[in-house]
Amino acid sequence: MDSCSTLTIRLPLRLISSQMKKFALLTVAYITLLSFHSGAAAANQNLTFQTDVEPVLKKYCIDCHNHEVQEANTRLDNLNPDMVNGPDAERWHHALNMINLGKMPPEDSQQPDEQVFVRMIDWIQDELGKAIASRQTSNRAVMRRLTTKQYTNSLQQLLGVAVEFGDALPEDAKSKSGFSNNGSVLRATPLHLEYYQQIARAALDQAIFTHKPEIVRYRIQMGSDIGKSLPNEKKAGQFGGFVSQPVANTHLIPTVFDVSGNEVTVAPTARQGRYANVLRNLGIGMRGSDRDRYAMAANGMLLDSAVPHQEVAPGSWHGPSPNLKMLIRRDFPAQGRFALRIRATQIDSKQPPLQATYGNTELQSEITDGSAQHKPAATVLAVTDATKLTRVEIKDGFLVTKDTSNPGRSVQYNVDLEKSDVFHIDIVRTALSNDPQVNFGFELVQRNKKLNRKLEKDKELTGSDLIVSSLGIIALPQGQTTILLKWNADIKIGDLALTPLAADHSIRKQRAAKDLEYREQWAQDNTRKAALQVSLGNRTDDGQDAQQFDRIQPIMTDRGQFATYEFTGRLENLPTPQVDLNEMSDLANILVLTVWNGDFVKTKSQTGSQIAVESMEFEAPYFPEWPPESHQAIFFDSPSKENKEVYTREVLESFMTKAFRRPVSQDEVDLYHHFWLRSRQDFDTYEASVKETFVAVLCSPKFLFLAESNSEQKSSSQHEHELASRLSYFLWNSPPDERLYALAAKNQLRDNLKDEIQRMIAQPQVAEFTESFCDQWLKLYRHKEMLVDVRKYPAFTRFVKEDMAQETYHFFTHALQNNFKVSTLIDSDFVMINQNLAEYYGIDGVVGTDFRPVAITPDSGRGGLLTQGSFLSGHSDGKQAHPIKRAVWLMERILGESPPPPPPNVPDLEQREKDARLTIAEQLEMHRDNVSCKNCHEKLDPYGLVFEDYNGAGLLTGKAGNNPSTKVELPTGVTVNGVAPMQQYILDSQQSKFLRSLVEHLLAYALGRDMSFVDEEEINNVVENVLDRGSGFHVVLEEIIFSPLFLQEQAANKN
Amino acid sequence: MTQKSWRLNRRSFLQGVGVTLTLPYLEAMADSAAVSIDSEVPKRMCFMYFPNGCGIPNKDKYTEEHKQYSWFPLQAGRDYQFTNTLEVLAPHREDISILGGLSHPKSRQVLGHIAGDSWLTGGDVSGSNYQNSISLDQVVAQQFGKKTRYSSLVASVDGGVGYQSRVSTLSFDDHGKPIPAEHRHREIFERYFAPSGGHVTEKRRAEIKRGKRIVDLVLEDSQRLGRQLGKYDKAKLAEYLESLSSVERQIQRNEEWLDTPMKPFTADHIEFEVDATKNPEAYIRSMIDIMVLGFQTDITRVMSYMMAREDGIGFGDRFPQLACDIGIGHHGMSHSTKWHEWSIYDNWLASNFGYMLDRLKHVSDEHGPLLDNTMLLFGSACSTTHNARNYPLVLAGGKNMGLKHGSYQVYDDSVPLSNLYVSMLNSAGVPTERFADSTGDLKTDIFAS
Repeated sequence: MDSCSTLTIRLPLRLISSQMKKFALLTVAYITLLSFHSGAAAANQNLTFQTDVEPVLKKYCIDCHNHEVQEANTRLDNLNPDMVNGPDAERWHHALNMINLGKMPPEDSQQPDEQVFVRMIDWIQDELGKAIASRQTSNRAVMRRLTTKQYTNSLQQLLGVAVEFGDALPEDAKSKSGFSNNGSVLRATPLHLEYYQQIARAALDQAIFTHKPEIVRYRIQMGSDIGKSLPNEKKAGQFGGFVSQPVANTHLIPTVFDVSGNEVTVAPTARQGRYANVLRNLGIGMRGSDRDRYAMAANGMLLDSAVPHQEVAPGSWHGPSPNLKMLIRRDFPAQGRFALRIRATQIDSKQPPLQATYGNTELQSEITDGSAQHKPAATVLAVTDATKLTRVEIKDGFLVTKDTSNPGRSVQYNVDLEKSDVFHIDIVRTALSNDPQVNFGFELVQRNKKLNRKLEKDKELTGSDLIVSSLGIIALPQGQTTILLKWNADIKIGDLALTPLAADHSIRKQRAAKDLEYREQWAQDNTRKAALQVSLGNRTDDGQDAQQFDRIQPIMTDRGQFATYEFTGRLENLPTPQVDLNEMSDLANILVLTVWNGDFVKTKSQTGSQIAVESMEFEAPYFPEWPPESHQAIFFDSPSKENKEVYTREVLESFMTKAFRRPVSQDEVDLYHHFWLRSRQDFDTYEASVKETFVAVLCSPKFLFLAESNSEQKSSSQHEHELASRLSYFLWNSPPDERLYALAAKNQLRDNLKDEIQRMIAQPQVAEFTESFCDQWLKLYRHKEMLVDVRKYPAFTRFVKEDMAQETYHFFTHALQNNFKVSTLIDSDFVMINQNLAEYYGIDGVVGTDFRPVAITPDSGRGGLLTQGSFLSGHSDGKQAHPIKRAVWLMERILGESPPPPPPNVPDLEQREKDARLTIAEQLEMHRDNVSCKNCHEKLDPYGLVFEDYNGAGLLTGKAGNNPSTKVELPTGVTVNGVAPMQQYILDSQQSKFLRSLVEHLLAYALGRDMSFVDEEEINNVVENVLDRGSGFHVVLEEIIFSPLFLQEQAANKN
Repeated sequence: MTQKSWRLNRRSFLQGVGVTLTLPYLEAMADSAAVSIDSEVPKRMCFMYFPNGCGIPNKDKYTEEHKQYSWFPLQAGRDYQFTNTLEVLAPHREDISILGGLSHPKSRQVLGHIAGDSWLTGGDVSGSNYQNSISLDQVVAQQFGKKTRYSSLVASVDGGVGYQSRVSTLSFDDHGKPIPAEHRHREIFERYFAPSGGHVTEKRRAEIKRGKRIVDLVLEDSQRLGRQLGKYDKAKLAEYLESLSSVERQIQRNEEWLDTPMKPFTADHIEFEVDATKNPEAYIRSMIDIMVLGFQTDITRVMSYMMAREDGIGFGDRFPQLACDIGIGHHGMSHSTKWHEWSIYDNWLASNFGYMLDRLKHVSDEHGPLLDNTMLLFGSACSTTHNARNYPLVLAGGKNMGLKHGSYQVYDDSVPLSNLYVSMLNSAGVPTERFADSTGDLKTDIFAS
């Protein structure tokens, strides 16, 4: 690029040789900059608008750009020639660009004489130069209100309370380039002010305490029958209702603790009414869980890997299956920090049980000469073996009906088998009476296995002869077991014969094969890593309203070794139920705390890993220490603590310094101190009076706005503190930390800037920058707002969706922190995924819930931002891919071009071509046939059609390159086929364009304003320097921060 | 006329006051020194809800029953014919519009009962992240509330918030959180109609004083900051200062309110001690009387009233038995084909709305009959047997806001109910382009264009 920087291109491209033109097109970014240099030289020529510009415009431009016709939304007949004071400099700049690029006048129209044209261009450049010079200072510092997120982060850091305070505020508007931190669009409305006051009061209530609030702490232990012997008043409750799956309270031990962990007994007389017994208000439920995926065992509740639920209305949002819910009715706070402690471990995965019963009726015993003959291998249970005879008696060697009041009759056999095996079950009996009236049947039960045999009256033999019936085939365990036989007809029962299946019986083979398959599956499942994921919510009649909190925690201990995992959150950030004590419904006022095995599997046929949960414990409000740190940080120890007037000054100064992010003057403190003096008598406690003063501090523009002094005598300390804020809201989206303040106080920040940038990038808070910047630059909010059709894409669960956004964040942060070249964003040989997303994308060998770089092959169809689900699904219509949205994204966000705007009053594609039942790609093709649409769409569509291999849910639909739609000719004449060639094309020939787009977006974000023509020169400098220094990610941020635009040093000097 | 003691005699209005009687004190009041901060003509809104949908016998399967018992009239347009069900509203024909076919798209898939949570919000209550949003009445209250003592009155038969998916309130704040409804008539009266507001006033006075001090301080601090800023930033700060002064003006107005005495009124006709479990009609009409009195004295201009809860929860399920001697609960009825019984009960529900219209027509303030300045919406969030489409809806009143009634209008699924809300807001002078999932305003001749 060095050779380029000395080159001066003054002529319209049309007038340059075709080779030059090609080169110049690739370096569009530099042309205007270099043109400005030439402008200075032309200043002597005494050019004027009236003589050198207006006639040319009239002749060559205005026919297509006037008050009636506005091709490309551009009007040139009313441009104000005064670029310094008039409003049209930006439009002049755009016109100049179009001319310089050779795009205007169009090739097929009349072309001006070269000399005439050059004079006009020189004039425009001259005037633009003056405009730039005049605006450079006024356009720099932009005072802006903190964004909702910045406000939240600032308040959280200031008070040490992790509430999402900003959730209450109206949503921030977005600027033209899509940024919500833009100073000119960030308004502070009266509504904002009412909220600021309200939020400040509520926030301070959570930071400052005059007394310790009452604390609730409950634990429920789980295990088979562990609560069976508890007296009634010590038993837990059982929560029923629509499709509930309550766990019987015989398996639970509920306990109420005080804050130091001592068991508390609430006197039964202390509370009255429907839910008087606190323990009865605690319970465990399994609503929404597949019954095959959980079981109560001696050591707790066993949970297989969860299968994510699908959110299809109505009524399928009970949570992943299985999920274990701790239910608390009535007694819980609505706000404050809370802790959920789960004692759990991973155990060996469950092998799915082999099928245990079969309906085959293959008689083994027979009647010969009026007596039953059994196979030699059979275990025969004789009439005399029967126990627990119900409504039957033994008579003449048979079990006969004794009591006909009820059709049901049953007996029980205790058997002791040498080994487990699979048996035919035959029963010797008499036929039904001569004229059977009813169908009847047998049922054989061993634990939870059942054989049913229905006999139809029409097919029944009549008479009193002995016959044999087969009940079917059942697998029985080794050792002692009990078999229950039930029947409902007036017949005599003889022997029950258990005949083992023949060695070559097909069921034996079938079971052996299944067993092998299960073992292999098990061996694989057993290598999985279980993890705990939790949510908090609210029961609704048909489902729940729940939100995850804290992070996923992998099980860390060895198999079978229990450990306690603590999760914390803030009740006010989550859908905590509003308690209404008048509400008598059984389903109301229930807090639902849910845990599941977050090692997700995709289908019910997979068992996955297995965990055992021994207990769940809830504590709220939760104070790891008392008084809380937030309180102590405000009311710190001081020798003057007893002298309230002096002490309050100290407290105020300390708080205001943090809130205003700079040292405060004595005057400023006086103002607030005076306020406190005047209002203190209105409050019952000292703390409350200080709180009130803090409310005012938190409504001051000095806290709410990022404002920089314009004063001539700005001290170096002021400069340094302003820089610290600018830097930390850029790289952390949060206020400066202790170290930044310390450096600023010593006037050393500017001197150590490079080191500080490095340090800040390495800190975890950089994730705040990543999220905020990526959301806006890459329009990730579209992904979050998109309603993907889950009927069409059943695998697209809320967890996949969330992980897609996480993929982009992790990818960006990883590239940034490891200082990869920024071209990594376009294409990478790795993806940042976890197991859940890997399985969704179809990438093997990723185990665990954490995101990590995973190497990929070039033909995987993944790598870089362009292949991430967050972009692809966010730019669909929820059902299918949307090439237009994808094209606009690629052009605008990645290549930094402005795609032509949609003309007004054009019907939606879907509206016009709806009946044709075509894909969007096919509809576009039809659309391009229309002459009036052709011009724009030829420039636009190719950039979106290359993504046609990816469907509306971000999945590859076939092998890349097989879809004819993805083969496109770009407006530059280059042909690409699919995403990988597109990535290659960008890397080969559009890198500087991409870099410039990234830099522009970063600058707009860092400065809180849209970039304009005034900033061109400095943007170009950044881009050039970055290219010179090898395009590493750190270099990009360094160059931006060291640019005069960010440092505002030149601006200050020029003053 | 001096203020009456609010310790009332408990004469039941049912004994003495006919439904069409105009209360005698009204003319006197119109002449009295008007106690209103701004004398502009008030605009009001009122919402009344009944649960479990309404009887609509299938036209093909139950042809005869359909003609007699279908909730909706028999043909669309101005010449529509009432069935037995809404017959009770016939006297109000020129003051009402019946709207068919409307529903909230996001709630169409859910079990009908849940749609009740979103009747006034159009929020998304269909997934495992329950995302309800602000209700229509509260949007209006944010605007109108600045002109009255209370921004709104939220009432229901059962009171409280209920629980998500089966709420017992119609109103949701701007975070989508349910606003607890009031249901103890005497308490409502004592709280809202106390001559000086009692302890509420003192509490408010303290709040206002605090708010005022803070705004003063912040204003002063901001002005100091302004001195250090450049030209552009000064403009930005000025915007903030403007917002501050607007808050300051509001505080002043609130303060003035506190010193303004209540309009004189009488509440002798209201029976506060009716037992909902014995006489639901008297109970609901007692609440309606309080609401009318609230509008008349201008304590608030926005009210919502949930006349019973969804899904057979709460008192309301027994109303059919108590009020109409029908031996089946409302929810059970809604799952049956007892069209005749259902129609009788729907008729009774509508009769209470009719009572409300009647009162508003015959009670006036200094700006004329209350009905002319009050827009009302009566209805439910599902049609027959829990189908959350084709909500039964009656829009009424609001003549002075440009509403022209007298027809039955039918829409198809392409029109979200929120479009009606957009039109209502704009007619009420709350300029609105969008409400929830609206796609525009309602294409209709009801609202003045």
